[in-house]
Amino acid sequence: MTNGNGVWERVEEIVCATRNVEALRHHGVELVAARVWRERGYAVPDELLVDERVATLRALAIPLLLKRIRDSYDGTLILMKGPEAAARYPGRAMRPFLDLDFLVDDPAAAHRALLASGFVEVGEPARYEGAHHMRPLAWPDLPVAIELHREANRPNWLAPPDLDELLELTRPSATGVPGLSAPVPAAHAVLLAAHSWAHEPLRRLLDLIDVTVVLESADDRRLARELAFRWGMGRVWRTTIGVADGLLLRSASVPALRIWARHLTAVRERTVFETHLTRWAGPVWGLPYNCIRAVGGATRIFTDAARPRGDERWTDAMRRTRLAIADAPLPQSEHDLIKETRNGR
Amino acid sequence: MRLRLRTEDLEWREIDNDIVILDGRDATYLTLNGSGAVLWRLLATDATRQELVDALLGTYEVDHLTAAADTDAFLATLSEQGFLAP
Repeated sequence: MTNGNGVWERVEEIVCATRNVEALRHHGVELVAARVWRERGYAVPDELLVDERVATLRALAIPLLLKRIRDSYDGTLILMKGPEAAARYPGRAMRPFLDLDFLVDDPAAAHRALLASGFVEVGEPARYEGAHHMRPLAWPDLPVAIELHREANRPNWLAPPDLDELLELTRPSATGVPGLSAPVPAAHAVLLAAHSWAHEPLRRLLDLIDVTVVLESADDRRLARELAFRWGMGRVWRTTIGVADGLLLRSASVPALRIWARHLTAVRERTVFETHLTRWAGPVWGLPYNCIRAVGGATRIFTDAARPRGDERWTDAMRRTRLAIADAPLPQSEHDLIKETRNGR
Repeated sequence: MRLRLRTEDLEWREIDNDIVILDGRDATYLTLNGSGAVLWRLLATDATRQELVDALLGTYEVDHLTAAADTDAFLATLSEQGFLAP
């Protein structure tokens, strides 16, 4: 696995530094690991072979689905993330994904058109009221969901970029499906970064690899920075690309990588402490300097964490907070499991 | 007569030594291994019946009669399921 700028050599090094399949899955690099390990003559565990098979089944459906989606709707369809990012990987089956994400000029009309063509709605309707995308669709029996976005996904403390501008910043999709567009590399990279932060700032290696590999040139990088700052995501972008470069291109390490994104270097889950730190650090690192919400948002995250949730009593909230402090060094998933066990008693 | 797979609504990929196929007409997944995978690979470009039989003879220790019978059975199944180009 090679490329011009050394990203994949570095990715190989990172995935070979661990044999923890769960950690690799957590970071979305399990398929990369399977391929690298096989190329290096290492045994590939059965669970990764299963992951590869599942990914292959999903990948097989993509050309058929894209063509059907394109044939079903006449308006603008911009494919982002998933297979569009995968086209920049050494092998398209090396990037896992569960769904197809589209920016569309008229999400409601596109949704109706796809339903009329035989696609069906999936997922609980209530979950998608007011969400950044319509209720997901699927072709019966094919294991890939389709999400038509009302707006670009981003952390809820940032405003979305202008949809009309995004619809202009396009080029033909790398999937090769005629009539299907994709964001230009710079816009795509910023959208990927914003989407990643919407889940959890500097969440996983896959997100950083995506952002790095979709950028094709120094001009792309300049434009990405310009777009990000214009869309109010300048600091999200600067932190993301700084960490990605530090990790994957061995440029100077940035503070975020040393302070609250060490799980990336170590290819492990965040600990409970790091998760809480990230909830605070995300807005502080990501919001524009002049935005007072940073202080309010960050403070609110800590006070909200300790406050009773729903019908929870104050005594239970305090107990939960005490347990979170006690479990601070544990991986987040282990803490969640312990919580479930405790609650189940 | 040269035989080949249909191109419309048919996707397939190799994983390890198996062939995983998606028939887009009814969203059915199939897997081929062994001799089926050998024949499918040849049909993906295009091949005559004789070339398919020869491929089995070259890959497996079987006599001509068995290879020919296996090839015919495989082609009949593909044809029945609509995988061959008209």
